[in-house]
Amino acid sequence: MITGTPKPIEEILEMVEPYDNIIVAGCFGCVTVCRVGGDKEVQVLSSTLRLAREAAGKKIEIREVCLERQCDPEYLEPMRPYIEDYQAVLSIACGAGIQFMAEKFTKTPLLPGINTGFLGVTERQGEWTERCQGCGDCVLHLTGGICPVTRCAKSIFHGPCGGSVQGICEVDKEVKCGWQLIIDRLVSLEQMENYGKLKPYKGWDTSRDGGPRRIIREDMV
Amino acid sequence: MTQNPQIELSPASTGAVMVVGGGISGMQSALDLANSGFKVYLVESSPAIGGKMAQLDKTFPTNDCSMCIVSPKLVEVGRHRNIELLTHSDVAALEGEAGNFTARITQHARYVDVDKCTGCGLCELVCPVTQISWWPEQPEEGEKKKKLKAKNKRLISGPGTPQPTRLAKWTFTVDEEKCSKCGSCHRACLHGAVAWQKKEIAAIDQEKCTGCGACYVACPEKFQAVTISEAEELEKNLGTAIRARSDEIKKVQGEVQSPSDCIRCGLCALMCTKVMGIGALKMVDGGIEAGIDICQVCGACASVCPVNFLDVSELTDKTPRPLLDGFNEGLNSRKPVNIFYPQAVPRVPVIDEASCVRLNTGECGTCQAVCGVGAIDYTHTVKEKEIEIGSVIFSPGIEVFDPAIRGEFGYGLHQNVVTSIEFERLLSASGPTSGTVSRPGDGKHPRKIAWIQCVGSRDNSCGRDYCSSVCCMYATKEAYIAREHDSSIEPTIFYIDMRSFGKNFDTYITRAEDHNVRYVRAMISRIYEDPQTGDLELRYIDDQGERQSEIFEMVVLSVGIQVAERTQKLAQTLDIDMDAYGFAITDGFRPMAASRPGVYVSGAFNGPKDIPETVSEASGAAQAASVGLAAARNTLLSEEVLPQEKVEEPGDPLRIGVFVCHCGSNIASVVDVAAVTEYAATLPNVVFADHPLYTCSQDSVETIKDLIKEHDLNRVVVSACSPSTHEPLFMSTLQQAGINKYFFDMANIRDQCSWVHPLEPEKATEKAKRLMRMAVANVSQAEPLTELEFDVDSTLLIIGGGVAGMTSAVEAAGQGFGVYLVEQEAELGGQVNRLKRSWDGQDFGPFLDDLKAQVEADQNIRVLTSSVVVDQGGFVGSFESEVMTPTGGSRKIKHGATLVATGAEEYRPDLYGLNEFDSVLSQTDFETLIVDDPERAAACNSVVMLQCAGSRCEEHLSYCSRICCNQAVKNSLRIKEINPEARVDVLYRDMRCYGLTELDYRRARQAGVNFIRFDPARAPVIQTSEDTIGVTVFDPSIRMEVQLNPDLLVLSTGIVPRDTEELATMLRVPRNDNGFFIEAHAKLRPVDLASEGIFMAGTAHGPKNVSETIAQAQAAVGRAATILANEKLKLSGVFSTVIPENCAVCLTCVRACPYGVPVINEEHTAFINPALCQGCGICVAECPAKTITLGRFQDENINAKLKSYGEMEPVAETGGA
Repeated sequence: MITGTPKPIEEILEMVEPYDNIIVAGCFGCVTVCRVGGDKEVQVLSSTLRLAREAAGKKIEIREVCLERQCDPEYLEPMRPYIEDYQAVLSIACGAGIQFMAEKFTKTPLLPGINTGFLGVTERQGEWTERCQGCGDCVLHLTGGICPVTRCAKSIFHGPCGGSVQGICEVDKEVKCGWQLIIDRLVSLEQMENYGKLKPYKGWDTSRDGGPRRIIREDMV
Repeated sequence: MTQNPQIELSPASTGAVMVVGGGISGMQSALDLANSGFKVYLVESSPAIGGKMAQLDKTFPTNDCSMCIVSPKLVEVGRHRNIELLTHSDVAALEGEAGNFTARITQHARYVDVDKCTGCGLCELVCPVTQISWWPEQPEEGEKKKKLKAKNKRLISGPGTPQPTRLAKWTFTVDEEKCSKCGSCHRACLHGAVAWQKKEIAAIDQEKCTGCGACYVACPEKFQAVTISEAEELEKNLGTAIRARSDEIKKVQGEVQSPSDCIRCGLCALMCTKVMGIGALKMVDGGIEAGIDICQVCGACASVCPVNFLDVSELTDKTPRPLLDGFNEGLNSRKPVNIFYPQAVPRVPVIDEASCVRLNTGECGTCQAVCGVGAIDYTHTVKEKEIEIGSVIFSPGIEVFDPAIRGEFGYGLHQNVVTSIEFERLLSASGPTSGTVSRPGDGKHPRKIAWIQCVGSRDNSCGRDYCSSVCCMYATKEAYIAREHDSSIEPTIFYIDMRSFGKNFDTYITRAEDHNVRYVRAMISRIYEDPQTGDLELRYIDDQGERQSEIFEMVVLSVGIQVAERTQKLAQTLDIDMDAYGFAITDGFRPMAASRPGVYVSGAFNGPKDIPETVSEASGAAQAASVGLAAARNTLLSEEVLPQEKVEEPGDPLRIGVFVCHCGSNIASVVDVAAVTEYAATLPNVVFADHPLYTCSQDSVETIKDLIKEHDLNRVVVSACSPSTHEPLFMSTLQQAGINKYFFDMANIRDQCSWVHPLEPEKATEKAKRLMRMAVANVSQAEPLTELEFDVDSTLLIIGGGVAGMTSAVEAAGQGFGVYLVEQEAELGGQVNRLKRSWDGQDFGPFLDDLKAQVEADQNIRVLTSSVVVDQGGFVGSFESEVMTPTGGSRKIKHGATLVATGAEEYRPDLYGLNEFDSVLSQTDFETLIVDDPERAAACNSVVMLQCAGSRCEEHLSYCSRICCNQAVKNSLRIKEINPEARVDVLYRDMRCYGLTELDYRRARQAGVNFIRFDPARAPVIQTSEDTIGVTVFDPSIRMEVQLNPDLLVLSTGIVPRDTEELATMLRVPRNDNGFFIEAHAKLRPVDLASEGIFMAGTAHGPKNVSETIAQAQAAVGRAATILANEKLKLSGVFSTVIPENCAVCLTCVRACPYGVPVINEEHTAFINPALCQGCGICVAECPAKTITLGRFQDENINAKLKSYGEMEPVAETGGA
């Protein structure tokens, strides 16, 4: 799931300062699940903005919508008939959704209401942690199901490095050494031979280093 | 009645039970019985139910507010149609035998009609009496009352001269027809306002008159020529008018704190002469002249003085005796007419015969005059009532030890030494100090507070040899909470052993330590008071053997609990056996059955215990008391017949009725109820509005029913008091009138309006209008909700065939329910198969054989051994489970409730050679050795027992296993019996021999068993090998190391729950970190699991001994019976529903629900089973897709209320409400 955190309300108020007539758009996808951009957040954020603006003596009109997903063109279309009646859209979907909407509706300024985080998992209600960086070349079968790219601060492929002390990474006392985790897991799975199977280096051409990526599934197009 | 084989029940037993004692134990028993088809008579000697728990501030180990959790129980008991409350009553006799008893109940005169009283509290408010009086001599019958003449007079004067007031002045005039021209009025008037000459009629100059009423007081009784007019409330009587004027003056002047000059309002003299009939007070130039010899010291004059000019002690030659509030442990005062405590059920006052003026001299009568429903009746007398019952539950509770017996602590002499129960009242928000921790001596906020443990516990010198079981925990709680009230407080607890043996108790102690509660292991020898500061010096010997002295500002004595003398008398009336301390004598295998068949005991009278154990025992006693009456179930209940509910057609116009309550003058004295009513009538769709004096009184409720029909109302709003106490009443009124009970809303214009804004009546009226308008807006949006009914399967599934499971099976079968008993092993018996003797020395063998035989013989019990429950579906009342049988096949079972009794086993860590060397044993091994190989045991000359071996530590079990200390004491006594010469050393951290087992601990010490305490930081060093054992331990009592080389090393290793991870996941019930199941509520639902219809018993819940296990098994069956005994169950109409279209399957509801109800179903959407939903609304608020709705609390409802709130601009510039 894509995670995110709400932007501070002061920052949002500053963004919407020039407008008195906007849409607040949520998304029923990942951001609903991680509780930053669902219908409830749309309503709460809209009310907060109305109250703040009314208190400041500059009322704002807000239309509240929550789309099935902002990253699929079909779901964006229903906004087309009325989007130009509004001066701006404050989207609380992820960065992908916001950009996609901006692309589809070129005449209306798009404002981000959240900071998009990472591809992660829910540890418990209210706590998410990162698991995948989308490097495009998965090796989890060799590393006991623990990703060296994400879980190692340096994304190295032959750890642990000298910064690993008693299983803790030098970058932060709260961060466990990814490689220590991998080796512990491999030992318990009796798969230490996999350690030797890893490539000495990783090609990053399938990752972000090759610029914005595209996936074309010939079988589906 | 399988557990009571000796009782021969007559075939026609009575389907009713008498519960004696209305504390938490009695209430729980009553509710369980009433909910499983039996009529209950709940007899309570005090004026209201609630018992000790109602007096407590918070409860350990959760710090829940005691009153907040007990008050729903109070309300439920009070409203239950199968429970007849007999408060202010005592049992005078019990005749007959099990199955058919007749009890004679003495109902003491209450002087207030319980049926008429609405609990508004006005009588208590207006009653002027504050002291216990010395009654004047009463005339013989037929004789006239003599006027009292004072011989000894005293002038009461202030710093200055009296400053006459004209505030809220009454008008005094002379009735010319009645005037006898005597001139008394002229002489009495201090302002020259009465013109009179001999043989002429007196006349009052209204210009000069200040309205003090001296003329009225002076006019001889036989003429009564001076009349009063323009006096508010005079139409009721003079007493209420005096109170009204006093309140009015106070309101205008503001509360006067320090005494000031007399304002010569004259109310004191009027009160004394004309209301109390004494005439001890007279207004004179310098102030007030008091006849100190004739004053009856009732305190009425002082209580109506608006400026605190009068001090009762100055008005009399006697020492005033203030009426103290027993509920608040005498820390503040009360009136003779008194509601026991604010949340009391019944909320009906009692008039105290000893102090009420009316009942003693025939004067006053103010309360009767003020009561708007005519509930006060001075002619009440003691009544006798006979009730027919099948069995009796005796749960009279306990009292606290009187610490004055331990004179060295100076209780009663040093003002700042209080008892723990007094301290509870000081902490309580509804207590005498409104929750401020202050010293009784001077009101100062104490910083250093000491608690002294074991005052009246574990003390042979005062005949209290037993441990009171609860004090270590309540002292910790009080210390902890005191710091929450005021973080500058430094609490210290002085103790002998920290007996935090219950579930999660040690964790609580650790938390308290983290919150700066200091624990000192020391006995306090004496308290010395500094008479100047009131501070207290404590002297003790610390663990280094040094003498210490420390100054504290307040000392709390952790008083033990004991059986009151009157309880012992009552127990004698019931003819049940008690031990030397007055606790009930019961058999360890039948822990609730008293010596007299058909009488059961529960709660602290059955041995000291805390609230959860009491509640558990109460459910168990309910079960034990009813199992023999199963045939008479449902024979004595009254069924409510409701009319057919009117179905609303779309487009039917709304017809709203509004009732605005006066609540006597509780609301009407502040809020203009007529104006609110008038305003209500102008609101859209309101077709009827009225303002009854008491909306909740019986006649009003009947009137509402008629009005609903007469005006064809389809929505009702009541603006009155709190919905938490009164909504069920009005909702059932709607049902009786044939409309959906959810077409109702209540606005709380008393607690949330008139009570909090007494000084701003106009704004309060506006606020009341708004609150009412919001309720009208809400009912306009109301939807009819239906309460689904479904059939209940009366079968109980029991998982686990140990003592808990088998006991439950036998009891449930006795109740007439079908039972499936599923045991994973091939044989029934569980852990007890491996044990020899119970904690009280009884042989397990015959007991277990008998129990197994009963299980096998009972046709209602189907035993499935070597079987495992693998799946459970459905919901409370209608479950379906799948059981894997030994053949590998599976079997579907339908049942209405589930009981988890999966048990525990002995922990066997690889410590000190346990599991390796023959000479290192666990306590269970040792017990087996003593029984199976007594010769080897007897040959053993020296034994070392190590307590907490693998318990209370991070590496092994973090918790206390509760039973090991008693097991060690029991086994050491046994070895001393076989071989008195044997040396036994028990190495311990805290000896946790709670309750009456303390006596065994004492016996063991007397028998020569050495108990050596060790600190975990300086744990014993133990080396074991094939043939030698070496133990080195530091003994703090001699401050030296001790070397021991015993023949045997016995480890008290504690107990661990069986692996129930899969079961817990399948049943969707939580377990704690240690693997024990977590109860639905730590205090009040100790055998219920969080999912409705699932219960637990025995060691699956936490470590406990066999008696506690049996009690809990009976309790779990008692709780299950409240479901299984019903043919049908009705669900609340208020439950959450997921609208699947927008569900993002985000799991938020699944995670947020405290009851574990929402699930993601096969249609990939969240699903909330209405049968399980508790209607709390947490999921509704949390759902990020806003796709969960809840009965009466839809967005439409809330939005309508909010919109309605803002519709009218507030009248006052500051914003009104």
